[in-house]
Amino acid sequence: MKGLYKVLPPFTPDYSGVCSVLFELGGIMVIHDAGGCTGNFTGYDEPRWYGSSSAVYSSELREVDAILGDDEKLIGRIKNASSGLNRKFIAIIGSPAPMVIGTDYTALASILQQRTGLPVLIFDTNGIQYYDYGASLAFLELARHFVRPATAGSGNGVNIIGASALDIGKKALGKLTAFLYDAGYRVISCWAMGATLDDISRAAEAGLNIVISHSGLEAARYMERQHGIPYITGIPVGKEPVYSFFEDIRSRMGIGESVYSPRGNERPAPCLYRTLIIGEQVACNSLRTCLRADMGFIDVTVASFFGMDSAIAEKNDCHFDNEDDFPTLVQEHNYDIIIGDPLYYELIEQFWKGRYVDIPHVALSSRLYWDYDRDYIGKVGLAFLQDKIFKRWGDIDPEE
Amino acid sequence: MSNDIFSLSINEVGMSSTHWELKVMPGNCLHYCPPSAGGWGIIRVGLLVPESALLFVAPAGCGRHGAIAGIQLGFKKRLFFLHLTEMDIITGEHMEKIPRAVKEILATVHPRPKAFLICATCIDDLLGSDYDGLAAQMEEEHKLPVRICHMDPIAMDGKTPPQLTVQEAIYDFLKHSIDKEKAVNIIGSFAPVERESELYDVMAGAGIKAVRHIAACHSMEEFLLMGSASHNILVQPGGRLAARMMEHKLKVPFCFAPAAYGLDTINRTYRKLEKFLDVQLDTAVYHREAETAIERYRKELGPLSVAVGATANAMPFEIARAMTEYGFKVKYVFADMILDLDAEHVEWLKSHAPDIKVFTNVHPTMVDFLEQGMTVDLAIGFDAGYFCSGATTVPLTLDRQQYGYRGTIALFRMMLDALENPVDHREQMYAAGTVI
Repeated sequence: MKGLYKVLPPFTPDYSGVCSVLFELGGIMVIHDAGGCTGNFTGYDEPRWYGSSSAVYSSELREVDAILGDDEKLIGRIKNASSGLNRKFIAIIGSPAPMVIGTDYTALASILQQRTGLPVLIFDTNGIQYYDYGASLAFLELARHFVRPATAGSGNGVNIIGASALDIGKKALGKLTAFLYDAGYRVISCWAMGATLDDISRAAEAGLNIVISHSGLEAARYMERQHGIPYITGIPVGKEPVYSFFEDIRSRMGIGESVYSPRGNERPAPCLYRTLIIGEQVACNSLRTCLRADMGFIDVTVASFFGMDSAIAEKNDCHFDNEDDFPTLVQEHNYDIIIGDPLYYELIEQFWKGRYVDIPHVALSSRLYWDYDRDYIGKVGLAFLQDKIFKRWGDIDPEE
Repeated sequence: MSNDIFSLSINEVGMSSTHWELKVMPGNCLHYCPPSAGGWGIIRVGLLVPESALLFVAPAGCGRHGAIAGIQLGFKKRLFFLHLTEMDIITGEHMEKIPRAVKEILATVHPRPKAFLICATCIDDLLGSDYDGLAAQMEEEHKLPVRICHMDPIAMDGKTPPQLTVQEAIYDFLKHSIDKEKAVNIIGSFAPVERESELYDVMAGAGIKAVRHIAACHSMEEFLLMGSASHNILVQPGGRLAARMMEHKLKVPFCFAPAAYGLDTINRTYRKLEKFLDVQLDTAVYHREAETAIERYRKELGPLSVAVGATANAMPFEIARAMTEYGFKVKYVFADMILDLDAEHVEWLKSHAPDIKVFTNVHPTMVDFLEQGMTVDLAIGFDAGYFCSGATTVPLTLDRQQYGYRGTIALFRMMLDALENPVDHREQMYAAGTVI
């Protein structure tokens, strides 16, 4: 039945996507909710919450306030907090209850901006959409509100856009950044892990934006329109893809070094295993690139319960609207290998006998695996995939 | 801001004679939600009903924490979600989808549930959706009991907050029995009183034939026996609406006799129960046993500074008083609500431990609390352990219900064990699967 989820837990909602993006940027984030949505984010969607001093709050909406439309109480609470906390902006993030009562976020922002003097970002999220939608809104708002026009280009500067703890771990992001520095580039800003709001305000100085998740696409397109900065999408997983990734950057920037040497004429033997990768689109695309370029895979499909952009999708890629769509697809296509979060496996374990490769995705499995912070960048990612796919499995592994 | 964390001296903690509850935090504040916040959550409590299933009807985001906790703790197989769309909310179409969802669940889940809960959320409160009519329709159609519970924190400050109404819902499965047996139900807690507690022997010695708790019932049949008990003992305030409902519907009177850790308070609780049950409870031997054990543990533990939290399975001011009585230095209490039953303990602490500082987990300034570097030797409750980083934490969670003199002995044993075998606070806390 459409909408009925008997196996999978609900995915990370849109309001958590917003908060995840803004988490490190020094704002006051107010989830306009009764408390449960905030607890959802802080307890189950934010691996960085423990020990942090990020100012994420609940507005503690109550029935009487909702019925009477008493926004003044919310405004007063936020103003009180802002006068005590030394923060750089205010973000008001919607949840299901304010959607029902039709909260006027634009009016709230206008009043609060006047009373606090701080920039106010508003997000009309509702807990129905998933995290990628909220994260996309947040990246776009960062671009619209905080990026200043560049007075001069930085030559070798790049931005990473689309980094959220819901999609990528610290190890992989650290490795990507290190690769960029080693290749002679300067990461002006990484949206939004490990960067400050000041870093992001200087993002227009960059010559290229590197989009590492679907959520970063809209912001990158906005930057292209407003500031003339082109973008590429992808995460360099594997050996050959890393070489190609940096060659692509070098050709666009006109400067930089290669990372890894080219393969030459040698090609991996064709691998006929039919493969499905489920998860965030850009990450899945990057895994697919590695499977093809380094391991000779031919038939690889990407699927996602989250947003998929047609510009970076292939013909057979598909979007799942419901829990049942995944087992249905697997029954129809008889995949040999499926790569995805461990929780998806339960949907097919009764009938499917192929090899399942676990790559946890926080937006599904939350704290169950969020300490599983694996580096997939470069040869490490290739070694991981080779190990998981071929080890003790049969006849293709060139090592056996 | 970092030097201006909201706190009260114990002497500033006031009581209200007109309120059942009083928040520690002043009004007009945003609420902070520390990593240590949370308890069992509505879903987990609802699924205490043996052999039941629960359908959670909400926007996808609302049920996420309950579902992940369900996977962690093993109850997800009985938990199902109907994700609402914007169109559902505008048209009310979700009320038509629910019967189809229930039908599909009952047709595909094995073994077939013997009871069914449908859980609605804040938005249905605002929409005024008629879930009671739906439950009656489902009962008729599927010939199994169906009850409605609500995960609606939007009603938190009203007379029917969700943490109370969910207990009302689960005990509403019980049926009135004319043939009462001399047995007691323990209600309000999510776990049965620990088997090592003297409560069972004391009750048996007074002619009470059974001491029952919902979490100790392995089947619906066994659970339904709770309807024939002669008395209910309410050991946690969260069960008060359920207790009143059972008094009215099942004709089972109740006595509020919360778990305590001070020996005098425990003694007074047993005397209260004697009057309520109209029996004599022979507890003197257990009182002496506890005095001896505490003396031994105190020597082993030595002098300790202590913080007490609101997430501990205890009344924070009562346990702070008990710790002070036992000779420990209580420095901080983290409390969000002050109930009427806290009054005598707060007053006692004002006289005997006036240096105690009281913090509330939810004040916005708590975001910078860790910068203060406050610590103690021992923290009771996950919140106290989080805010006093570096302290050894005794979680004293809701997963285990201590009671009586041996409950105090168990607490001392846990304190010693925690100090001798320290556990990473973050791991310990996340493993507990608490939800807001």
